Amino acid sequence: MTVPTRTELTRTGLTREGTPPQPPSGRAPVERRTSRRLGAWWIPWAFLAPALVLFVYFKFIPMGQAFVMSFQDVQPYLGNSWVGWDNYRALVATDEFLAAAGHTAIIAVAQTAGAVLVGFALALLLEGQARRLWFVRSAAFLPVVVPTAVIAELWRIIYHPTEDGLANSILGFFLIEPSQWINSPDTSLLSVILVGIWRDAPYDMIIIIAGLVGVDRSLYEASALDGAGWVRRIRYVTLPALRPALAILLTLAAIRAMRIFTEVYLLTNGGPNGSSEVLMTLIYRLGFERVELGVAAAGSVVLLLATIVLTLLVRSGVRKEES
Amino acid sequence: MTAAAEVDQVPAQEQSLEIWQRKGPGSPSDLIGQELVREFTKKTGIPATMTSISDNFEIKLQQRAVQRNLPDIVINDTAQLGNMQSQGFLREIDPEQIDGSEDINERAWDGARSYFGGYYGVPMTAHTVALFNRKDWRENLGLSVPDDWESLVAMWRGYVEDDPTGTGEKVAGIAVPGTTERGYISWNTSTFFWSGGGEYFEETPEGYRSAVADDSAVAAATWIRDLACTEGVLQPGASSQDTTNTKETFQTGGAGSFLVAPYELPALVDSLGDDLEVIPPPPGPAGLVTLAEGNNVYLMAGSASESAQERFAEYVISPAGQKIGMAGHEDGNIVRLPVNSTVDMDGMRDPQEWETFQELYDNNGRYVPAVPNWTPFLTASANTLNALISDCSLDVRTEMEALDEVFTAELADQEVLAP
Repeated sequence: MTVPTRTELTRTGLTREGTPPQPPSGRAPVERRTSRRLGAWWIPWAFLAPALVLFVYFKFIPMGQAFVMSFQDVQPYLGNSWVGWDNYRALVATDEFLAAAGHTAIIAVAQTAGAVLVGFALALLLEGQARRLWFVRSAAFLPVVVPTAVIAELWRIIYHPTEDGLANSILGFFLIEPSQWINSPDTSLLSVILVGIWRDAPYDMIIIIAGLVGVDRSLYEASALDGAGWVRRIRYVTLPALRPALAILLTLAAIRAMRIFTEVYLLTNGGPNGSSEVLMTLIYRLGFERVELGVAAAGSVVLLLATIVLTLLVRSGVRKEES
Repeated sequence: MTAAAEVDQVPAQEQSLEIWQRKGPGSPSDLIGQELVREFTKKTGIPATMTSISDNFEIKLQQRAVQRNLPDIVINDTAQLGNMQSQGFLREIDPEQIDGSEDINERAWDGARSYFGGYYGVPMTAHTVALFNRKDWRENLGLSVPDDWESLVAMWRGYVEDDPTGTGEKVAGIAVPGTTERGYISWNTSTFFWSGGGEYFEETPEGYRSAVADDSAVAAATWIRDLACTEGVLQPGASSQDTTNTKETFQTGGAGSFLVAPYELPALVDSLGDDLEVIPPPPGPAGLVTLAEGNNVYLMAGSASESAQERFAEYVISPAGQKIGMAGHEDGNIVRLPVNSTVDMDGMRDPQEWETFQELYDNNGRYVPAVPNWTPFLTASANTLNALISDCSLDVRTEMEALDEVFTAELADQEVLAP
């Protein structure tokens, strides 16, 4: 390696005008500093080891096994046999897989968008330091900490399909005909999405509130002085400042929505007539009701790939916008 | 079918058993099961543990299969035989090797035989379904016990329209678990499907042919669908309810009838008392066929305690074992109708209702078809029926024809499709 000239060092800002030129051995202190900072190479790995061991054993090995299983006819007791791409072919050949993928996409888009919108609105309403706001925020946050199984049972009661059901009484107040909610193929998907928005919006609200704290107050004042109304203030001040928070939210929400399972399983079990079947409930059904573990594994691999692709797309989209 | 590898046996005096049954942990049935196992150990000296699992039973069994360490004994539905046998989980049984097997009634053995002919379980209990009905409501409306489908539906319509409780509260005619989960809706309406002239298959010497798109099957499915769509006598939200929700609906006065097996008898007598009557379902256009079910003691493959497995099966079918399982008047019976013909129910139970079940089982009971694996058919037919009751705009024939294709493909898959 050639030693940089003084001019080059000046240009890169490593030395200041007027200091004596560095001797050729000038790299030595840098090296010493590096090794002092890192210590023995294995120390960070030692700290990571407990988590890594758990991840490897409980995540990566099972994932690898699922990948292998997706190419096998899985008969745990009789022994597996290789079937090549048959499981993937069987999976894609069924209408129900395509329908489930479609429903998953609809849920992912609608639920994510709905939750972010509602969360954003809640955040704007509930931002601030006052004690009563703290109380309302905690109350609004409750759905996030309630177990999904409880939420599903609760909404099953809310969605009771008679006129005196809770949701239908509210509709009745606006003179709308009672709905069958989770019991009709026309409304089951919508019902599931509403529950998802109800549960996810407060979570989004908290993240957005955290992001709002970072918005420079003087920008609001400046824009108000320039005559911007509240819509424009949100459009030109709040949203740009929230971009990093929203990017994380969208990524997390999309991934979460792809894997939606518990609420669908408990509310509709994919029915009626497959109208709310999503990929996870289909995989579950294939694996544990029909005992086609190989096909179910193939479905899981497809879902994993889709999730990775989606995550990368969202990330690159956000990065492009940032630059 | 390949069998699982032979396993080295533990010496007979050191054998022990791990037993699973598909019952709620801590439930009355769990306690009766524990008592059965305790008495077995007392009598034979073979140590044994009984674990009751109700949630995801089949999944937990899969997990143990992956570890190649199945429990020694599984007590589960007769309808699960094909599912477990096709995965190599079960030991084939020679009834002659099981002491007391000659006392088991012939029909019960039907539920332990695989399509391929061998026996893969020892019958433990049998039962069929009957109609649990609100006697007080029926009498309030001045109706007699229904004796055909017309009067049956008329009674249910009366419950819905004529305020049988006298309180103005809205109630349903019949509560049916309409979810696709575990195939519940197909399972719980098969009595109506058969009685209405429907058949799942036609059995020929060369194999099976799907019969679900035949006119009589379409008519039977239409009748079931119309309970929801034209008569409006099904409980609201039926299509997403499982057996637990449905039982609660009936138990708490939300519906006037409930077609179910006698395992619910003690609990429902307890909560409804004299307002409850248990009546044979009235015959439909094709007479009366009621779904027969039961539990088998399955001797699981890969056990190192094979002779202990056999001793347990022998104990369960012995009069002593059967009587413990019957649980007298208590809740939690794990033996509903005894399979041992030398066991006398007299004096152990309130005879009247149990006799109804016994007569129905003897005269009208029919097990699910003995295809190699019934589960895929159960699930597929449940999907169709669930669709029919939740979307009244669907055409029954079109849906049944679609089901017919699924059935035919599955029969071919299981290599029993008639050419």
